[in-house]
Formats: sequence, C-alpha cells, structure tokens
Amino acid sequence: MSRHPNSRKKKTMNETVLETHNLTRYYGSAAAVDHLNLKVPRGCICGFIGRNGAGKTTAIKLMLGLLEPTAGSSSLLGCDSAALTPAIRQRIGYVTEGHRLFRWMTISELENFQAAFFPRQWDRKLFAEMIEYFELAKKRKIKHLSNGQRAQVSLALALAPKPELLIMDDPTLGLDAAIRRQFLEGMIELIMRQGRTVLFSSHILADVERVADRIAVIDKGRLRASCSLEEFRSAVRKVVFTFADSPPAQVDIDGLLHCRRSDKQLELTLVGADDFEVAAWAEAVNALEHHTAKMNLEDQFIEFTAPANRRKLFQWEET
Amino acid sequence: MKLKNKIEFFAAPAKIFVTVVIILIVVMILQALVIEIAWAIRHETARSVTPAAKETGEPNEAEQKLARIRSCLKDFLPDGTVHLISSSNRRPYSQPNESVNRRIYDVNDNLLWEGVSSSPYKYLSWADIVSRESFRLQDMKWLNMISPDMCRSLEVPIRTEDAVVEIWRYLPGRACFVGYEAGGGRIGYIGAAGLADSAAKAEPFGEFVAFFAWCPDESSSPVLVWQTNRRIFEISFEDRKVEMLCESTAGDIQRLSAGTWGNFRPRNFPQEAKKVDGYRPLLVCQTDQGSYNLILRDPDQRITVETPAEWNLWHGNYCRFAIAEEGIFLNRFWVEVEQMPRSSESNKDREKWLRDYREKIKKQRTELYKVDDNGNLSLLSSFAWTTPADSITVSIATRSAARRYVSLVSPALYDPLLYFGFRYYASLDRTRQDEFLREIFGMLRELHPGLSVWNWVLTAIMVGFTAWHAWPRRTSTARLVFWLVFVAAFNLAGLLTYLALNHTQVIKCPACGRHRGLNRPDCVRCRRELPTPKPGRLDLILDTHIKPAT
Amino acid sequence: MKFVMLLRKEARESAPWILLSVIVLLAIGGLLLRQEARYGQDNWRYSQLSPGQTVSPYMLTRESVLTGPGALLFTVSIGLGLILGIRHFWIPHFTRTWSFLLHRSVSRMSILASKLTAAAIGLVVFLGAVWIALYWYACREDLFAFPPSAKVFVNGWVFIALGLIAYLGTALSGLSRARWYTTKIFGLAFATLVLFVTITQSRVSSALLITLAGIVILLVQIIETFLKRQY
Repeated sequence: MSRHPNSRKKKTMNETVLETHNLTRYYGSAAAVDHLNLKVPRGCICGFIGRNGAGKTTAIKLMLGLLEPTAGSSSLLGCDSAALTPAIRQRIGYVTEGHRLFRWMTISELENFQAAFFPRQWDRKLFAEMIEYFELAKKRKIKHLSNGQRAQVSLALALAPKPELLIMDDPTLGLDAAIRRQFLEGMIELIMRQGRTVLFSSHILADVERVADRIAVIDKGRLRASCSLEEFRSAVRKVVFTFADSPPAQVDIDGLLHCRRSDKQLELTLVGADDFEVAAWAEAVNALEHHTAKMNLEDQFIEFTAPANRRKLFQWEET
Repeated sequence: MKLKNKIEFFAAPAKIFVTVVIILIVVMILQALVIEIAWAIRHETARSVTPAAKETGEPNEAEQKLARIRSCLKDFLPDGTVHLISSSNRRPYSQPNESVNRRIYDVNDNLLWEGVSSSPYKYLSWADIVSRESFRLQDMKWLNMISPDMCRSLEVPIRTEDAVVEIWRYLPGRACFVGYEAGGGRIGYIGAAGLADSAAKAEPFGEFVAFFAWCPDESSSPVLVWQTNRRIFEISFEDRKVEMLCESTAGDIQRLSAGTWGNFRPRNFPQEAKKVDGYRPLLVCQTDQGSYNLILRDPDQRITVETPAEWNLWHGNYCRFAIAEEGIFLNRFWVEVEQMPRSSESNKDREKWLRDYREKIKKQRTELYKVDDNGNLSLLSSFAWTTPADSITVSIATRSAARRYVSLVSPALYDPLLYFGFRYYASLDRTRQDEFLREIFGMLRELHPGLSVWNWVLTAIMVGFTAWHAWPRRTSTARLVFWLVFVAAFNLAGLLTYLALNHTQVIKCPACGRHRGLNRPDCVRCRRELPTPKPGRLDLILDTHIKPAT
Repeated sequence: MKFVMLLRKEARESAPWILLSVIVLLAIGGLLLRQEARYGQDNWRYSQLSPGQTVSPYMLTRESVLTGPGALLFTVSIGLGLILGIRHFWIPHFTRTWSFLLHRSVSRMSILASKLTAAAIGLVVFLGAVWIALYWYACREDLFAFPPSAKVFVNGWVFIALGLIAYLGTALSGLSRARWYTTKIFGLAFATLVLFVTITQSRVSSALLITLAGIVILLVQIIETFLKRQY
C-alpha cells in the first residue's frame, strides 16, 4: 500500500504534539539518550529509527513519563511528560515493545479493562470491527495468541479510544511479512481517516518507507536526523566515480560520509551534496564518468549510521 | 508540599534505617564469627597444675590430698562438725540415691566411714533454690511468645479421678487467673485478694517472677507457690484460697528456696524427711538488699535474717538455710577474693580480674551459723581449703585478642550506648527487663571498641574515603555532612550503608573534564550543565520550521 | 471506576492464590480442630498428676486447640504475602507488562494503591474471615471442654499482619532496581527481621507496635520507589 500524501489534510503540520528538549538519560556512566531534541508535528507519521541499542525504547519511555530523565524534559500535547495528567494520557495511545499484554485475560476482558480508562471516547464498534477484521475470537486468552495476533490486539486496543497521538514501539517486531503488511495497512487506513499523529519506531525500514512522512534517526543516543522522508532520501546518496587509472588519494568533497575504493572506482556516500557539486568535483578529479547508485531507505540508513572506521564482519565484504 | 516530596521526606530516613540495621546485623554476625573461630582454633581448657606437677609431671601426696579436699562435698552435722564426703565413682548427673562408693573424712583427713549404703551420719538438709524446679519469668515470656508453636497458656486443672472439671488459666495482662468449668461457663477470677466474679474486681498478683507446684496428699489438683517482685502467695484453686505468705517491704525478692513445703520436696532432700521431727516446712526469700525472710510452719513463724553487708564484697558469696530439730542453721560459702567488676564495666577490667583470679592461689571457705528466733547469727564452725592457680589462660587471651581486633570496625556509638543504655536497663525492674535487649547489650559488651585509639584512626580513614567518594556525587552540603557524620558514628557499617545507597556512577564532565555525579543537573565542580553535544557536520536536523506546542 | 477496574484486575490475578490459601487453611485447620475435639485435649498430661507429688511446672502449660491452625495460619499468611508480592511486583518485570500497566489515565499512585488494596483484602479479609471462623468453632462448648484464650485469637491477627509485612518486603525488593547482591534484597531482609523480632515478643502490644512500624517503614519506601519512575 502506498502513501497518499495529498489525500491527507496537512493542516497544522507545523504545530508540535511531541517535543523533547535536551532529553538525556544515563544508565550507569553510559548515555542511552543524549540531549535529544525532537519535534513531531501534528498530523504526521514519524518513523523513529536507529540501530540496536540506539536508545529508541528508552526515548519513548522518557517521552511517555514512564522513566525519569537524567536531564532535560519532554512534553506531549503541551503537557510535561513528568506530570502527564490522566486527561492527557487519555489522548495518547501506546503500543508497547513486544506487545506485552496480560496473558491471563481474554480479548474481551482486555477490552473492558482498557475501555474503563477511556470512559467517553472508547469506540466499541471500532474495536469489534478491528477484531473481526483480524479474525480473532474475543473469548480467546492472550496467552493462546501468536505474536502477530497479539500485535493486532495491541493495535486495536491502542486505536479504539481514538487517540490524538499514537506512539508505537517497534509494532511489527516478530511479525511475518503478510501480517506486517496487514498491520500497516490497517494503521494507515485508520490514521488517514482520523488524522492522528503517529510516532513509531521500527527496525524494518521498508515499513517506515511505506508509511512515514517524517523520520527521526537516533544513533548512540543522539539525534542524527529529523526531517521529512523526502528530504532524507534526497540528501543521502551514493555516487560511483570511474577513473582511467587509480582514483585520487585525497577526497575533498563537501558532505563526504564514507569513501570506498577499488582499482579504478571510487564510491562516495554523500550527505547534502547536490548534482552540481558532484559534477564539479568529478571534473576536478578527471573522473571518466559518475553516476548515483540506487539506494533504498535501508541502504541509506545503514550508510548514514555506519561508523567511519567500520570493521568488516566477513572477508568477502572486501570485494 | 507535593505528595512525592512528602513521601521522600519520610522515605529517605526509612531507607537509611533499614539499610544500616541490616548491615549492622551482618557486620555483628561476622565479628562474632571471627571471634568464635579464633577461639575455637586456639582454645585450650584452663586447668589447674600444682607446683609439683609442673616439675615432675605428677602431683605429690600433699597435693593429691588437697585435690581430694577440693573435690569433696562438705557437709555439716547439727553440732557444727564438718565432714568431707568423697564419691569415688560418681558419674555426672547421677541420682542422689544411686549406689556409689562413699568415703567420709574429718577435717584432719581421717577416714571415718566408707561404703555404698547410706552413711550413719545425719547431715543438715538444706532448703534448695526452687528455680530449678520452678517456672520462671523467662519461661513465662517464652510461653507468651507470639510464635506459633509457643501459643500456650498456663492452666491449672481441678481434677476428679476421671476428668478435668475446671481449669484456671493465667492472664498475663491482668496478672490473675480466670476459671472455667468443663463444658463452658466462667467460674470467676482469682487474684491476690482471692476469688472475684469479674476481672475488674480481681486484684492483680503483681509482676510474675516464678512459681512452683505440688499436689497435696488428698488431691490431684495442684497447689501453687506464686512469687512476684515483692510478695509470695500460696494458691489453692480447689479451695479457692489465696494466702499471702510473705511481703518484702525493703527490696525485691531475689531468690526463693524451699525445704519441705506442702508436698514439695527439694531434689536432694532425704526421702524420709516427712517423717522426721524438726523438719518444719520452710521457705526462704532472699531480697536484693541481702536480707533473708524465713517463713516457717507448724507452728507459723517469720524470721528475718540480715547478713553483714561486707559479706557481699567477696566473690562467690552464697547462703543457704536448713531446719533441724536442733534449730535453724545458715551455711555460708565464699572465696577470699574480691568481687568481679560489675558487668557494665569494661571488658578489659573483667578480663584482668579473670586472669588474676586464675593465676593466684585462692582460699575457699564454708561456714556454719546458728540462727536464733530474732534472726541473729552465731558462728558455729568454719572450714577452709586452697585452690591452686590455673596455669593456662590461653582461652581468655585468644578471645580477648580476637575481640580487640574485630572491635576496631565496631561503631564508636557502642561505647556510650553500653555505658548509658546498659545502666538504664540494669536499673529497670527485672520483670521489665526485655530478654531481647539483654541479648543486644550482651553483643555490645562483646563488640564495643572500648574507646580504642585504633578504632578512631580506622573511623577517620573511612570518613576520609567517604569524603573522597562523595565529593563528586554531592547534591548538597547538608547531605555530604550528614553522611560524613553517619560514617563517623557507625564506622564500617556506616561506610557500607553509605556505599549501598550512594554508589552512583560518575562521569567525566564534558565541560571541565573532572569527575561528576549524575544526580544533579549541573556539575558540582564547574556548575555547568551537561553540555549539548556538538551536532555532527553531516546531521540532518531540518525541523526548525516546526512551531513549539502551545 | 478506573480504580475499581485496576482493583478488579489485581484481585483477579491474586484470586487463585487467595482461594488456595483459604481452602488450605479452612480444610486443614478445620480438620485439626475436629481431631482435637474428637480425641480430647491433653487429658493424658493431667492424668500424670497424682496426690502427694511435686508437679513439674511444664505439665501446667498447655497448647491451645488452635495451636495447629495457628501455625498453619502463620505459614499460609507469610506464604500468601510472598506470593502476592511476587505476583504484583516481580512478574510484571519478567513479563514486561509494566509499560502497558503504567500508561493508564490514572495517577501512578492509584495503580500502586490498587495492588496494595488487593493484597490487603486478600490477607486481612479472607484469611481473617477464616481465622474468625476457626476461632468461633474452637469456642463451641458442645465440642471443646474449655474455650481458647483471647490471646490466641489476637496472635492470629498478628500472623496476618506478618503476612502483610512479607508482602511489602517482597514488593520493595521487586521494585528496587539495584543489583541482587547489593540492596535489592534488603526489603525482604528487613521483613524477615521484623518477623523474627515480632515472634519473640511476649506482649501482644509490642508485637503489634513492631509490626505497625515495619509496615510504615516498608510502605513509605515502596511509595517513594514506585513514584520515582525507574521502569
């Protein structure tokens, strides 16, 4: 399913619903989140991506007021996370990492439990529709559901109260491709209909590419990118230069992220360099020809977050 | 004040209290273990070695005779003659009537009689301390303990041949008895003034100290002699009768001894005592002022014996009484060594006394006095013998050395706590003295540092370490000072408590490069907040157009 | 309504254990009492009293008919306290459901209060009701020659309070984010200490005072730790 940006109202895209200010959290002497300054505008779907251990889950818990920060602050819907009132929490939906629910409850008991905390806004019809859509039996206990089914129940529980802001921590973790697509389609359908704001973290960048219109990249606790998806896609590019002889020893082009050499080729990963700059440099170094390699979001993310002196894991990566 | 702040106000001291109590207990246990292990490894029993045995390895004849005199039982005849009774094959815990080969000597070491049957001599039979046969305050406390298997009560049954028809249950809170008939129905309450129909009307007996019991000849329902701090009662539940036998106006009753009383017989009383003339029922109440109240029956008689105050200055001073046809007698036993220092004084003084006591030759003495109807004493006879020195005092030295070392890590607080606390505790009425507290003071006495300079030095080192550790982690001066004082007061336990609650991570301040804690937003050294990391030159932060939330 | 829903959820989680405790206490305690009623209470001991003899004072100390059920109540109460503490505060860490539970439109204090209330109801109301029933049974004149003392009844309530102590100690250890070899087990250790000190008291008033102090000390720490938002 592709996005339809024009079909979504872009009203108030510039107003934040989620904002962090130098949000910091240390575990021991290591900073899990280091001066995070993130803004998520209203009405967007923001993909929050990072490598394993980058600090995504910690950041989300800090934003939701579930963890106390070492320094800094964050606010959701204009309310400080440290003092989120019940009224504000009612406007926020949250899908936890791993879809951890009370295993002894049935789906219907879980619905009643969740609905009690949204007395005026719980949409029983919507919940029933979603459960029916996912082909789940309400009498089944959570412990008897598969990972994917639990994810579906989590989503239904999070969406039924029609939250203004939906925060999902790796919602498609452990799901197969078919269920993931179903999950995303369901989410997009509802979000687009209701005009909600979504922040979701994910390792699966194909999903992010499919649905997000903004991304935030966190690396070792620091925010490395916060922009629209198009801006990120167009900013990070890999250009391959071919030379008659060996490539130049020095590479002094603006925006250089990584450089790989072979006999007659130079592969440069660049950030923010436009075509003109690239062409000018190619001419300056007497490159025979140059072209931009095709990269999907996953490739771009890997290049963007790879360390400069990355060690090769396997020998054949050399070739 | 917000709820969170209010809770923190109480939670912080609660956390410190819990942590320090647990750590103190662990440290105390480890200290006690070290002392016991050291003592077990180097323990040797002190034994007496005579000068001759030191040289030749064997005692000579004179020393053997002295050893026999020491080990003999010293008994008196009513005329004051002392006999020394030696049992050659007596086993530990043997019964009085068990057949053993006895030899009886006079004071000049002349053998007067030898045999296994009863001797022809009628020695004075002494009233025995009933605590061996009685139920004491500690037993009552154990009985009333909350623990599940101690959920017992003291109940005196009134029986017929077949069944129990009544029980009288002791109520510790009211210090009286409540009676029930079998099959229900409360009979009433028995207190110091006798039977009452309600608890409010029953006069309490007073703080319980001990009781002993027997069944009369004509009944299988027990009669009790009930001892409180100042009074002794005889309670017959079957007859619903309470008789106050004795009331001490000066001082608490310390010890109760009984000759024959009712059907009570002391352990070592002759079997035929009941039939012998002159053996009147006798109860002896010793008060803590050193006077003895003698209660006699058949006919009823009360005698108060005031022993000289200087008797209490000697170690091992002990008196007992006997009734015979010839009159009332007092036997005094004592050692010609000054009393051991009081238990509240330092371990050093007590250990020195013990060492001196063991290392010197001592004279022990037993004396017989006649007591007249006015309680006056007249000395009839006296016998003394010597005890040689103990040559080995390693067991004391090892323990005291181990104690000296382990007490280096004891809190300095132990000394004032022992000095003031124990004095207050010792001044309490014995019925109010808590067993738990007694154990605590016992531990304190064992482990207190005794104003040792090395203890202070070690404390100072720990305080210095705490200051070094706390400096980069401090959130306020008051807290820092509190912890320094805390560690100074509690020594090792204080340091461990501090570390348990404050060992947070430190990082190098990115601004000034020195170590700082993370429990406050700014660096304690340079006062700067954690600086925002420099944005990477290739970072894509492009959200400046987004307005903050309103 | 929200608090009631939280309480229902906690109660449902605790229900199997509370029910099991009630059944065990009622069944075994009742059986022990019936045995006592049927075979007489220590009359063999008194048959050793004979005229003209010294009486060992220990022959005059007597177990209550409720000693067996009392010991069982002690064990069950502490066991239930431990289990509920684990269920309420340790299991959410292992199952990682804290985040789901804490993101409720109620104050954090309400979530904690629901757990504490569920445990208190389980211990005080349910076990208390069983203890009252057992004591009432032991007071029946047609079954038992002599009624049990009121002290035994109060002792039972002290055991129930010790169950609360066990629960709070387990809760505090569960909430602590320290390592197990540092201060994590101090909650349990303190609860154990309070337990030992309480059962060595001979006065009920001291026992109750110590238990109350223990409850207060543990409770303030639990509230403070829970509100500190470390998980």
